[in-house]
Amino acid sequence: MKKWYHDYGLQARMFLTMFLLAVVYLFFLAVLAQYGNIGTSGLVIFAGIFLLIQFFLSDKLVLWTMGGRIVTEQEEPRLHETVSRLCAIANLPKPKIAIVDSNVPNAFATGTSQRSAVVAVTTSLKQRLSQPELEAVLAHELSHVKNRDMLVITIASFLSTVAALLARNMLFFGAGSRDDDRKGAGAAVIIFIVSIIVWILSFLLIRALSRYREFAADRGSAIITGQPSHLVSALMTISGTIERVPSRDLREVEAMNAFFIIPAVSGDSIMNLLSTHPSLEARIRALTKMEQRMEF
Amino acid sequence: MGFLDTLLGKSKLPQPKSDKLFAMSTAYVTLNTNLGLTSNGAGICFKPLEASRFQNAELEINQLLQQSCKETNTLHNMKKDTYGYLWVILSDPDFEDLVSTIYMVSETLKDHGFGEQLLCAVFKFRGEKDVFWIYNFKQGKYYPFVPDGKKRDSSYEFRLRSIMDKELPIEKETEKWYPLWDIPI
Repeated sequence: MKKWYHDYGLQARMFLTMFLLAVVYLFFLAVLAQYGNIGTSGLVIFAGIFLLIQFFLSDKLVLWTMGGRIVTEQEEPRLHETVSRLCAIANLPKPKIAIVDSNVPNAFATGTSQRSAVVAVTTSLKQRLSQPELEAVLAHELSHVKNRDMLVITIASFLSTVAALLARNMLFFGAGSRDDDRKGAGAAVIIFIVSIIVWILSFLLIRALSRYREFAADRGSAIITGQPSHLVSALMTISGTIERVPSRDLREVEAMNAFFIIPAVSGDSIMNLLSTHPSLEARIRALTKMEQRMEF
Repeated sequence: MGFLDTLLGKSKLPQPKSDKLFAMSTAYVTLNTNLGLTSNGAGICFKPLEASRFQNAELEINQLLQQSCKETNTLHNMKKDTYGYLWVILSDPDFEDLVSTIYMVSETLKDHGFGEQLLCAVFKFRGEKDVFWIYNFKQGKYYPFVPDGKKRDSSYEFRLRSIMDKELPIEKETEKWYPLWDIPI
């Protein structure tokens, strides 16, 4: 008996996004190979090393910037038990659990692999959500871990970062080619323009990918808990309180938006196209659809 | 989970493996003679769904329990714990009956398509301390759990592992030895 229908639409969109991203990147690499010089390849290597370091330190960096503190089983028995039960159902190694002192109810997952993952919740989230709602949010974060979203987004962002670095570098320091012949200057202009185009396109595509991963994690949460409605009520509770918290606190956490379950900026201020998270309405619609399909 | 599933963020839960459950019925002899542990009930724990089909499955489990428990004189009841998980708790002096009733419940859930929601089966033993053997359906493996107040008696758990290693399929990764506090058995 099939319980969960597959969301082929979501998978197709995700696949198309990744395909387009690959096309953009291949084009970018081809241009670099054709017109690049020592300076550009140096920059690619530099960006590679930088991203690699960032990637391997990401869990510590995120926790550090958020002020997260890893808690033991004795300190937070209920949180630990909830997570370990979900892990047993989803067959995941149990991640570390961290608590962030914050008035913004939110949760995030970080870590480069399933083994080194950290799932963090804010104190406010713990206070405001009921046990089933908290469980649904934790299952959403565990789905991010299960789908290796950190890794996927990091890999997807690599060449985008290179393009951004190249474009900025050339804007501030000129073409960078020491040979003054016209051919070199022409190549530099081409690289500059292509970098900007790649940067913009890949930025939009990565944002789209990130939103699809959110939908996928919502689905994952519903499948692990078996109760899509609990995530719906959790999302409503979180977003409801987020609109009411003072903005000073919001600005402090704004930088970490990509990892949050709900970004700490109120939805209307940013265009949907640029957003890392889908709109609340769209997420609730998708979950409600799952819930309806469950009955058949 | 395959590479493509990860790439597309597909969530699939692993299917339960109930066949290794029966290893406990032979292992019980060793547990009893070598360690002096006696059976003190068993239970199976699963996560309820909010679908109406799940209620049908629950009803059928209840009917099945009533029928088969009459034959074997097994006492049974259903409980919901504080985390919202459902427990079917059984007690029977005949250990074989306990194992087969647990197997029956897990199969019924599977038949209804809810096998993914199975958390674990737990066998409780009485000795100098309460010992729990927990069966993880996702792995098809057992692991010991010995609560000692608010902590685990890890050294006793490791001793149990080394003694029972040959007779029980024991979970190799100890980080998957998830504790279950306040087991309602």
